[in-house]
Amino acid sequence: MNKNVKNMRGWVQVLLPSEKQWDDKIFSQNILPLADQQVIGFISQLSQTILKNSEFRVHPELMAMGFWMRKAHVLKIIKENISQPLQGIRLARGVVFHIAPSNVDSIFIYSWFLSMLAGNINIIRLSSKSGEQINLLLKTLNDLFKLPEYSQIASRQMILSYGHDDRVTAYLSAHCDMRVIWGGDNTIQKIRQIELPPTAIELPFTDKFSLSLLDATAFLALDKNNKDKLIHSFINDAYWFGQMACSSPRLIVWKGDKEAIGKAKTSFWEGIHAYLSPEFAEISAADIVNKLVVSQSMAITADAVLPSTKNNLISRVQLNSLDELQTDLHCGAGLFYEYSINELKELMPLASRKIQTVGCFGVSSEELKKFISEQMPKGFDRFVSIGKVLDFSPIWDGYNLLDEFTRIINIGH
Amino acid sequence: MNHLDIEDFLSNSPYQIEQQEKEKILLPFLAQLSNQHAVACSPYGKILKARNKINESYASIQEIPFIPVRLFKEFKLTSIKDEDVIKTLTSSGTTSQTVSKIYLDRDTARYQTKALVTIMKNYLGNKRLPMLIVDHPNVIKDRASFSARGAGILGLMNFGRDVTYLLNEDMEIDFEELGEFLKKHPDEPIFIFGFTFMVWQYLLKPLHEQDKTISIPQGILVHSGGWKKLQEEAVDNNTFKKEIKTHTGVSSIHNFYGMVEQVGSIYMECKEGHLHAPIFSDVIIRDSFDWSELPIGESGIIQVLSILPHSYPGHSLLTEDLGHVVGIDDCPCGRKGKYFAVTGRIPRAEIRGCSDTHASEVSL
Repeated sequence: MNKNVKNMRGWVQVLLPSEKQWDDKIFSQNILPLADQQVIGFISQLSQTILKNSEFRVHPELMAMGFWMRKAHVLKIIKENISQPLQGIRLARGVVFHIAPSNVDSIFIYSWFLSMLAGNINIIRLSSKSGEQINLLLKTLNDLFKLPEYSQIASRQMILSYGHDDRVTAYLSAHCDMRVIWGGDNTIQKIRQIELPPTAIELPFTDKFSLSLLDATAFLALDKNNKDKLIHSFINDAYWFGQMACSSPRLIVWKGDKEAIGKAKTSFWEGIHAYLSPEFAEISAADIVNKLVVSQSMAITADAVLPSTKNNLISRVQLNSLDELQTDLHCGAGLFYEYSINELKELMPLASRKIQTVGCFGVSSEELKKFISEQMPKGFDRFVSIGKVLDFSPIWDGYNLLDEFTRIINIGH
Repeated sequence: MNHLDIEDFLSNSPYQIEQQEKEKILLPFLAQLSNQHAVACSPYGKILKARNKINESYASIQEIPFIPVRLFKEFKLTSIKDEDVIKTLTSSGTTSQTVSKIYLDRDTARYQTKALVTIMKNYLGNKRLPMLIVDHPNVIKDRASFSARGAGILGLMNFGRDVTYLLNEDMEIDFEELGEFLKKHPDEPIFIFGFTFMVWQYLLKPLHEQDKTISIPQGILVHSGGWKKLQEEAVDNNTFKKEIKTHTGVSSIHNFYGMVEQVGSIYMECKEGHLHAPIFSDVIIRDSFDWSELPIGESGIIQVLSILPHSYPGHSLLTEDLGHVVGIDDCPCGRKGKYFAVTGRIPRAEIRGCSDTHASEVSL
């Protein structure tokens, strides 16, 4: 056994496939075909297992993932996002090294599976802090990987856990064709100091800030039933992941005239208060004190107004200008910055690379397209309907992931 | 409220007035402080303005707005001109790197001293007692900027005479010094002061480990400074008291609850083990759900009110401590007003989300 392999075996714990040890052989596996039937079959079987298994029901994020993995949906993703070039052939890049976020959420699974669909060999670094959800998922994956029909897939995927060990990160980086990093700005900067082979590329998913955009007149025109639906959707968007996911709305922008916005806001917050339960919001006393500190800090530094709310599940901070938006200060847990505009172009002060999702209501695609082509904003990665902001899309942070996970061999004449 | 009013008030006996009457007395002081600081301290004024509470008339002390103590770490909150600052108190928090800075002028410093005198006399009597400090002499060396520990020791030194430090610079018990001190004061009460953790770590633990005892049966121990470190070692107030008694013979033991943001108006523990609010300060237990006041026995976040802070807007603060009111006006020790228990700090919330907020997680 060579020295590197021996060292790696001491440094890393292999979580998937279980009962395996580190082996350099994974680097030399050949790639699988793009959108391979075997891989599609594997993903859809995992989906069925998740959706049928009662253990998963208590984890709505995993259930949502199970739905995303359904065969029909996977086929749709392939159809809509993979384009074969006119002259040439698209193939997987090779070995992809994924670094998952440390406070584990399931989001890295999506990029892993898209990379798997592309046909890559995947090595994933999982934080040692992984929770119940990930453990449940790992158990399920391990069971499937033992089936003979998936041996081709199993031999090309490996999930590792290791402590703060640059040697491992450096070793895996040196052998990959692509590195995917989920993490805060500091994490990404630190990992970037570790070299990649000159031919490898890197895909960073950094901290992002998201907002909701509502048209006040359209909101006021809703009947009770539709208004309730929208409120429910917004509550889901905002309170899952403690409002700390990159796509969680932390700013609400109201569009319209002053009077309509005033009425709409009153009705909106009454609706949220009526439907939001403490059990769902899951906000701790520490969160609430943090929110108080942030709100009052915003009053001091940005002359923000702090309207009172019925209870502390909701904290409101009305901004006078979008220049005062302090995205790093935001602590989640039901803290909402609020701002009013008349026209979409007033969103431009926000348009930095930091801004990801805009959950929209009452704003048409045509209007959005016009705004984007006229203003050409530097930021904004996606505009989706309220209620869909947490759905993972194969186009994420501006990248078509299936494009990124593949390369094109051009055939000229 | 002019200065004479408050000074008369501060020499009152601190535990004679029943809660209902006490709240009526405190209200105008606190309302005045809110409005006064809103004018004099611009950041504080902005907070009240943001809540639409400028020149508000308050109907009860429960309505007095509060700010979180952590704001003193983030902002310079002062209501006086720089040239009027005579003392700056700092505290290092256990949860962050930044320190609170509290700016005192002559008046506020005097109110603090007076309030402390009134409270301590109630426990120690009117005479100055020979005093032992469970710390080393260098802790108060730098008098320009005090650590919370130094400030606490200096404040309480006023109540003692023949002040003697129990520890040497290596944080070891100075048995020789102690022996001489006890020889000088064989038959009188002795005032012992130290921070809870210091008493545990540098007095009780060594005595325990070396299987030694000292004998100060007439000692009155006053200690403070939080239980966080002791809780990590599973030491509660009862264990602490028992160990003190076993190893030092001291049976009169008084913890007090206080903070650098409200020096002076401290909450002393009586012989029943209850913390008492003196006349110039009070606690309100808040439900974190909607800030409503919680009834007797229910645990919530502790808000502290004090009429002493005139040089900075610290008269109404939301702490990060948890506690509950044990009773009102009816403690068997005879003291009136609210008595309560502090049960710990607000547990840190789990950080969730899709990004890595702990940069240190990835050490590269």
